[in-house]
Amino acid sequence: MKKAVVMLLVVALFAAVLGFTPVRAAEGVVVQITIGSTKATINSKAVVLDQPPLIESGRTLVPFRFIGEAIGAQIGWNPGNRTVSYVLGNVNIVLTIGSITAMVNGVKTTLDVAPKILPTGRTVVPIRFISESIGAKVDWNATTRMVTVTVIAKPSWSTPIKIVLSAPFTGSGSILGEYCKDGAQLAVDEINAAGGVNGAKFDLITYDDQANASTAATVVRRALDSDKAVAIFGPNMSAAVLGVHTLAQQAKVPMLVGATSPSLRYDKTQNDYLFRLRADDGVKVAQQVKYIVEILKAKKPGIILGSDDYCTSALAVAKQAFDKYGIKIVDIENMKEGDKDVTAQVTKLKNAGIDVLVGLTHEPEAAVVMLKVRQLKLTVPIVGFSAWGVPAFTDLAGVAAIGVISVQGFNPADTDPTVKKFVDAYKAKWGKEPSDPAQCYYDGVYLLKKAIETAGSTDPVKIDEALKTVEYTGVQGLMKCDALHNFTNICYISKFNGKTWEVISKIP
Amino acid sequence: MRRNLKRIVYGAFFGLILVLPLLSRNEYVLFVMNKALLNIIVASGLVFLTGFAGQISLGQVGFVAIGAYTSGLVTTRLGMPIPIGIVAGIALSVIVGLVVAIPSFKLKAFFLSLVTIAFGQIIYLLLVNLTAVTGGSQGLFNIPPMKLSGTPFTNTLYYYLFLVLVALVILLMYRLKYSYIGRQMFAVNDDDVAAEACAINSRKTKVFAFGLSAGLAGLSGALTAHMVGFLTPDPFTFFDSANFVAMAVVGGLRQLSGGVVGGFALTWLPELLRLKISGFENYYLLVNSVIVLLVLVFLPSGLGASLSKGLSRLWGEKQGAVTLHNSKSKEGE
Amino acid sequence: MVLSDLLQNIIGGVTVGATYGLIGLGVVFLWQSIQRINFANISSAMLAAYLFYTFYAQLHLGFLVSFVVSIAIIAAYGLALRYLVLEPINRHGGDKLEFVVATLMLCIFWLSVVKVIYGGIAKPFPPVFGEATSFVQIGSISIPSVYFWIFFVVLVLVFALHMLLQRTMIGKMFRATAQNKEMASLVGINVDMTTSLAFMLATSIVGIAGILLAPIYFVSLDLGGGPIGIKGFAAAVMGGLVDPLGTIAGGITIGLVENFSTLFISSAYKDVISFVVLVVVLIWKPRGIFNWTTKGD
Repeated sequence: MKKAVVMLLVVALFAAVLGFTPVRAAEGVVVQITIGSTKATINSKAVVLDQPPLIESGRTLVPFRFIGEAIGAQIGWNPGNRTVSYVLGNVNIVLTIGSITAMVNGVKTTLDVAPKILPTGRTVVPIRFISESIGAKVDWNATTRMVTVTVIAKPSWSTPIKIVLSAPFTGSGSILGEYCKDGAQLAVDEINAAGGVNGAKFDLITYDDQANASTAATVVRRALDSDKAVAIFGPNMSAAVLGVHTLAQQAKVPMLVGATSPSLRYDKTQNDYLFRLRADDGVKVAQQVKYIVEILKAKKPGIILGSDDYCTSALAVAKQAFDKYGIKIVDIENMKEGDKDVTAQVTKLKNAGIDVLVGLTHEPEAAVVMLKVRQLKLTVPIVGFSAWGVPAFTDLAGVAAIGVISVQGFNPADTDPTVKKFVDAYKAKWGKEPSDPAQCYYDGVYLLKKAIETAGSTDPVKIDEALKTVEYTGVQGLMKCDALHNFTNICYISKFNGKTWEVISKIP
Repeated sequence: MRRNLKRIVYGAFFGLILVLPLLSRNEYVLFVMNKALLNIIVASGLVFLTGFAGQISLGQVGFVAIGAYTSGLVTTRLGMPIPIGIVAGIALSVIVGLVVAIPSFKLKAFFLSLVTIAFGQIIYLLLVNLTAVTGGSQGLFNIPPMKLSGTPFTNTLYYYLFLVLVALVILLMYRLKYSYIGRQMFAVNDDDVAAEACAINSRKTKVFAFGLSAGLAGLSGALTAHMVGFLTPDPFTFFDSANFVAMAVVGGLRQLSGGVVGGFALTWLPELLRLKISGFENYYLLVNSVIVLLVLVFLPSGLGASLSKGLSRLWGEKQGAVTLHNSKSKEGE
Repeated sequence: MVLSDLLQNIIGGVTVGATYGLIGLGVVFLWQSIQRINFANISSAMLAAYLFYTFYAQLHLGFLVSFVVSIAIIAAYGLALRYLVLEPINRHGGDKLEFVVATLMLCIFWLSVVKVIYGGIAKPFPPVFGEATSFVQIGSISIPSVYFWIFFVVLVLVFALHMLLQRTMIGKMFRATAQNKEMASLVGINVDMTTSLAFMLATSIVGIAGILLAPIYFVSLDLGGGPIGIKGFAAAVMGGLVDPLGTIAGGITIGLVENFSTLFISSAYKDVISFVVLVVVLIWKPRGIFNWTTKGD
């Protein structure tokens, strides 16, 4: 009995592996024909033609019925006026035997070569013209003399537009996956309820990338090769994005991320397919330092620093920013993600005589720090980085967080009507308040919708082009792709009063 | 009749493996297969170390990391060609492996496992903190891919390369198992004191076992570095070491095929569980651990063992020679 | 570095270290009973903390009820561990290694379960041991009120265990079985019962440790694996895997070492130093540093 189970398991594994071989999405078609050969393939399945394709006047002619059936069109043949017609979707093509004039949707078009009836009695038509008229791609390989026609399914309500979200649901570090997904899903559901994108609905597929560059590499490949997504949202972790964005570039599929490291800017990555959906840390830290120096007028800052890349790249920016003001950082103390006791670090900071504490850590560490700060009576102002401005921190720190100032990417207490509408919808649907980065994925999905509408196509390359120029006003204000491929630079400086974050300033 | 059945099944199986890239042009599938093959190499090393030589290691990813980062650094910072990087990676892993073998002389089972856990953690912490060398948590990027006459390897090419390597590893293990060293190892596994009494040098055996398994892990790491192109400390945590041990145990510690079965199954299982049911992205790791747990509890000798027993039944062969069993625990071990 | 700073670190190290010792006790009891190491030992801590959180903060059942019910469930879990994991593995021919790997997987399983049910973000522990921000000021040293509670509970628990093991019949049976199972059953001791008792004790003690640690570690996945589990093992090792008091002492030592290495060396390598200490102890004195029992393992 047990052996049978084991055998079944192994066989099932194998079957599932092989089952992962959709060469195309079920709706798309790939047709291949070779000049002079009766062997052709439709979606890799072998087909035998009754007439080999031939070339005339530099154009390839194929049997008319074959190409019609291959692309899935309705074929019509009228012996009376010797016309051949194809109807596919809303494209209507009519060819006349022996005539170089054809009609596409009622419009006269001139062909390079006329369809004809061969001595063998077979009727042949120009393959490139037919294919391109219905929007298919035609490739010619001179060496093998093979023509490949690729028909991409036009999205409709039943063939949804596939988008994939890669977000961290497990793993260590900032587990913000729920927020990313809830934000994106809310947008998807709203859009689908309102009729979709040009009549086609979004299909959001979510994968866990474990906050881990290695797993993200697998997930993104799955999105590109198995799911054939037209756009990828995430990863949300900068280190993961650094590892996988070239995959999107090679596949020519746009990747819209909430990851905030400055090393993802266009000047560093040179990736036309990578876009950022919220303010990057360089901007946020600069604002943080500006507030410290210009408003608080602090001169001896101390920093408590986490160890992962979110924290260390923020430190690099902070150092630069303080340098510009001519201010020297008095002390930097390190802690690791997961550390629960920072007595030594806070003691050292206190003894260093700092006049402001800059927090560059993740949320749980921020709570640990604040509890210790209150215990050891370090009474200087506290200005935290974006992870300090979220409920994941304030819930844990409780009253210890009162009076903490933080730079934020999003503040649900913002009275702006667009923000309020989003917050209310999110609360109604998910039963909790949204937190950074939910808003950027919400905006991102709507942004994608606009790009698809502008491009008039779900071809990822065309979507990418559209993303570079489109403008959209969302929860984060006016979003437009700038030279660094950032869509927005919005951030807030706010102060926690025990219940909410009071906005001190909103930039821009 | 039954003999022919055996030939047909094996033939079909190996045939399938050989033509897989042609059947499935899905790059994602090939990528995961490649990762599986590399994991098989590590898992086989663990089967050798733990199953054959009876030494436990819960820090094996430390060696994978050493191999990976060494090769990565040698090829990026020092600009050396890839083969040198890989050799350097393996060499350093082996050397460290020999050092880690030393505690195994005195320590048994649980205590040894603690040392290996400590080893794994130390390597991880070094990776994260020695930023100047390893790039810290931001990682090491732009590691050159393997190239064939100028063009980078495709997933298909990596697949065949790794297939050859896995075959070589299995062959190596086969020769070792039935060699003098192999029998020494089983003796040490069963009873240290008795083995010493028979003048079998248990220390040498342990050193060899650690060195070999470390070298295999290092090889896998180095290859990963070049296939994926970047390295971060993320995949080198304690839980990843635990996962490799699970591969070895689930596959079957006493089987030559243990590493293959375990490595394949536990690499593909989480991927197959990525069902597109909304909300399932939370559940798949849970289901993964439940399935592994069930296999461990009900089939402790591993899937590989059950598989070969089942296949033997299928073609009516008598069960093979009795395989050596781990002796039951002695008092106060 | 002022004396008060030093004292502050000592207090912190001792308190947290004592809980590491409790976690180590879970390892010791099981080892003494079945000569196996349970790598899911630390999961009991996390589960107890989350259960308590559910009963107290979500269902508002009151402190005593929440506490008792949580620990009762964890004790029952200990029994389940024996009958659903250990026994089946033994029956199907598995040995020490299979148990180790199975419990490793169990540890990961519990982390996944908690993540699915409660999400991955840490939750604040309800202020049952005083507000997180309430401190007692002694001179220039401030001690969080939580620390007092932790210390108090650890003292009571260790005292109770000592009484149980040394003064009661059950305790005597337990110790006898640990020394020599065959002899014990020959003398008429119900070995089966003492084994179950060992499992339940192990998980319950670790569960209590989890609830004590939750104010500091938050009700989080950090309680269920990784560094903190290792510290439990280290404490057990220092006690030679046999001496309960030694285990507590070992835990305190680890707590102190951690704090001082941060203070004087670097926080980045704090964990490395703890591990190095562990390895050194293992190699140099595998019998344990704080092993005050007369007999060896």
